[in-house]
Amino acid sequence: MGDQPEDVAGEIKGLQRCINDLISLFALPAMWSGGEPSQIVHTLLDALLRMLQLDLVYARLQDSPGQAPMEMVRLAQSPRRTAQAHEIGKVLKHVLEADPQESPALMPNPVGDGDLSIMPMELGLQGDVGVIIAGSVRADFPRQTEKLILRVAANQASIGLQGARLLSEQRRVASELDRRVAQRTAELAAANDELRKEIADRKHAEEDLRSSEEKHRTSERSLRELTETIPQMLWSAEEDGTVNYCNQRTLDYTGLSAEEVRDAGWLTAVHSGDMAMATRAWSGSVTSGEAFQCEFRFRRAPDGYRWCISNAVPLRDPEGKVIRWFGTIVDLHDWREAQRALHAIQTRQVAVRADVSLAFGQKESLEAILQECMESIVRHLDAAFARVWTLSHDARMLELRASAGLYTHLHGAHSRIPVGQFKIGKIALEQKHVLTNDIINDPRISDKTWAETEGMSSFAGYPLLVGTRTLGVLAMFSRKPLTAGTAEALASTADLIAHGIERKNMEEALRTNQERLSRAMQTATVGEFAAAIAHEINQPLAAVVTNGQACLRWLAAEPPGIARAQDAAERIVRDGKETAEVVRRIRALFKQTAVERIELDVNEVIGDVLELLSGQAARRRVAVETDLVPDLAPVVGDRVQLQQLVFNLLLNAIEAMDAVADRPRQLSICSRQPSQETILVEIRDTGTGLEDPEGIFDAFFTTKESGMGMGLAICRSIINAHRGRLWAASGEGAGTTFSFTLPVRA
Amino acid sequence: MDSDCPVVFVVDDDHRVREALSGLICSVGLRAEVFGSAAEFLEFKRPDAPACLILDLQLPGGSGLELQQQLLAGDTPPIVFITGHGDIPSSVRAIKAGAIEFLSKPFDDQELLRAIHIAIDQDRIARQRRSELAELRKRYTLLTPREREVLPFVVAGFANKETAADLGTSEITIGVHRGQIMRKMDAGSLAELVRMADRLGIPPSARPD
Repeated sequence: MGDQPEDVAGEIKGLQRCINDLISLFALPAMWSGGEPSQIVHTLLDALLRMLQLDLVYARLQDSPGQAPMEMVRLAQSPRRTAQAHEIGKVLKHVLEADPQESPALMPNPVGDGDLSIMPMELGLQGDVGVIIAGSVRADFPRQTEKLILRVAANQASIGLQGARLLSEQRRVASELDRRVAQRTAELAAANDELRKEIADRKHAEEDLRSSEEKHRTSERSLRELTETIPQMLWSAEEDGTVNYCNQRTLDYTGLSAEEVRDAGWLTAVHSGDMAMATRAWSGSVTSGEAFQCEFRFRRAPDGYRWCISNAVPLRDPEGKVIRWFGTIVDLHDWREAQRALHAIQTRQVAVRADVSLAFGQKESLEAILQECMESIVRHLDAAFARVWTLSHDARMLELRASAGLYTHLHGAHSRIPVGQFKIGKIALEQKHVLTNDIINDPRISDKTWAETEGMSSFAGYPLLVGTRTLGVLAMFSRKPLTAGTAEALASTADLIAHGIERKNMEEALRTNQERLSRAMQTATVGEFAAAIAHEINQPLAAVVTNGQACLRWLAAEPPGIARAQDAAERIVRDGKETAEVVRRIRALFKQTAVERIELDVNEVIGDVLELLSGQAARRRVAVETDLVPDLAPVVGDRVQLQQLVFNLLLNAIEAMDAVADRPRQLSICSRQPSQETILVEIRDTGTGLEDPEGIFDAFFTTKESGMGMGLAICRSIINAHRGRLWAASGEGAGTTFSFTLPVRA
Repeated sequence: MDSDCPVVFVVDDDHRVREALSGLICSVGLRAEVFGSAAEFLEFKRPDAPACLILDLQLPGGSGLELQQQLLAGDTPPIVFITGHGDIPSSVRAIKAGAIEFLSKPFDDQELLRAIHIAIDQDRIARQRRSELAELRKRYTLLTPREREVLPFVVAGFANKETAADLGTSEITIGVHRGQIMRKMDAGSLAELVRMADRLGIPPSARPD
């Protein structure tokens, strides 16, 4: 939990960078306008390489059918950076041919070492424009934000390339016109020559002239046919800017007649707010003779103004003088709207994601987290109210955990919904989302009267899924229609919440486990301590009692054995004092019940415990050897806990040697200070050794018949609390060494 | 203290307990011999007197129960166990293996002394029986091989004539052997001889059919 704020800060930073990158991407089309496809792709590849720190980015453009595709590649610094685009293309062949849905893939890095994570993105619908393949040696590539950037980049490029394609189409049409006009002009000139040459023969000349005019008309007609057939709005203008022709498509679009659009009549279809700008741009081009481009709101006859872009290029005579202008108009409205909506949704998605991530990072209780998430949905996704249910332990009920917006109570009719019943229960059971913008007529919605009264028009419900498991249901009602973007944002929020809940549940389980462990630790340790203490006290106490009884008997004897009674009484005093000492030692051991952080000498801790265990060791015929380096730097910790740690490890070592009969039972304890910062303690036994030196630290792992197997798990939890390390190593049949380190007081 | 004075052996690794027990035992007029380990006790040349062993259950160099197993083979005095923290399984095992008593520290002197006396009385009887048996064995060694052959027939109640027929000799010879057996074994009557043979583990000869 301690690292959480940094993660959140990192995530916010990442999201900010992502937004910046997105803004840069949105600015690209402006740079591209009028550019060649290759130029567009070059700038895009450079931008992606830089933004995503890619190792490789490759593009293949299907420029026109039948022609070889155009290939381009950009590489980060790499040993083989001279690689040619088509060579890279060959390596990527299988990626290009694979189903892009199956990406990202992993492949050997063609320009360096290791593996490359690959993310192909199609350009245009079904990749009809081409494909971009981004590759990075990072294993986590592509992250969520990187995917987003790549998708947006691909969209931008598709639009840009389609624009470029349109432009080149326009140019092609213009040059075709150019060619035909030139041809016609040549023909006219030839006809004129003919006329001058054969002036004498009037009749013949007239015939010739007639035939030439006939040809002219045919040529004019076929040009007209072409311009009327092209599925584009086309227009042409005189060299002075007077519009002299609009094709039928343009007339249909604006609802104006051919007469009405002539001259400057077309301007009446331009939105009044854009008229001045459009006029200025047009007259600018007419004056300079440079290509015209302008975006303006253009009136579509049935439904009003829509954003369009008009491009025009001049036709020049051999001297370079502009003879005529040929122009196109493209309706950009849907694209621009989509862009705006996309941007808005992305902003809202980012906002909701940030809220959800923050909530999971900062709040403790799941209720508070989910409440925060629901409020974010109400705030950013136009929900009238949003609710979330989680699945009960028996997976039969959905329990309402948070509700924000119009309703905030958690008790009532919807607080518990059986899985499979009502729309919420069905979403959980079928693991399918429900979206409707027509509540009143949707058979899945039951509370129609309520919806009508409250003016609700749309409902969205998503199952909270982790893999194939349902964790709950997220649902919202809205008074506004749901857009695809809202749905997408909700889907991704549901995903985020589901995984958040999953993580939270796991944390909860871990905490419960730790609590159980610490409770068991207390019981187990108290039990082991109690046995040791009972023995330590009973020994001198038995002596005291027996001496007392002997003393009484000597005194009661005839004659009384005064000297012997005195001996016994002296032993009583001596052993009584010893008992008191044992009690004092034990009390000192238990004195600090609350966890304390004080400076401690590890050697002293070992000494205290050894004193308590020496009897035990002797009885089990274990020889104890100590090698404690004097003047160790102090550590900071809890005396009782560290005593428990050493006690458990020593007792464990002693017990591990119970079965040893063929060699000495030797227990060695040594302390060292291997560095300025660390104290190392090693406890070595000559027992049978371990099969699984790591598994032994698990709770309930035991090789002993008695005991709960808690001892070493407790040791590990104590050492973790002291920021130390505990491990075990075992040679074959040569006993076990338990080692732990503790940090020296800073 | 004469050699027939009962002796109490104490084996406990805690010197305080050893000293206290030694004091208590002496106060009731018994002789105490204390040891810090089982090995010390096993090495000790024990006096020929009725005795009792007070044994700590948790001993260095092998637990008291192990020592008990070891001692069961030889001539051991009865054992009274003492323990710092006795558990039920060990006490059951100890008693089953023939311990007189199993006492937890700190123990009551009355209980301990009662157990010691019971143990000593038991040992006295056992010693008595052991010495009688030793005497019988000594007498038995005086018999010649032929007399040892005849003995089972005598204790089985065979007439001299039957025995002679079985062993392929004369009735008179058997009569002589029989007289020698009665004399050497110091048996006052045939019934006494039968009891002696029983204690020596000599089965009466089966009657041939």
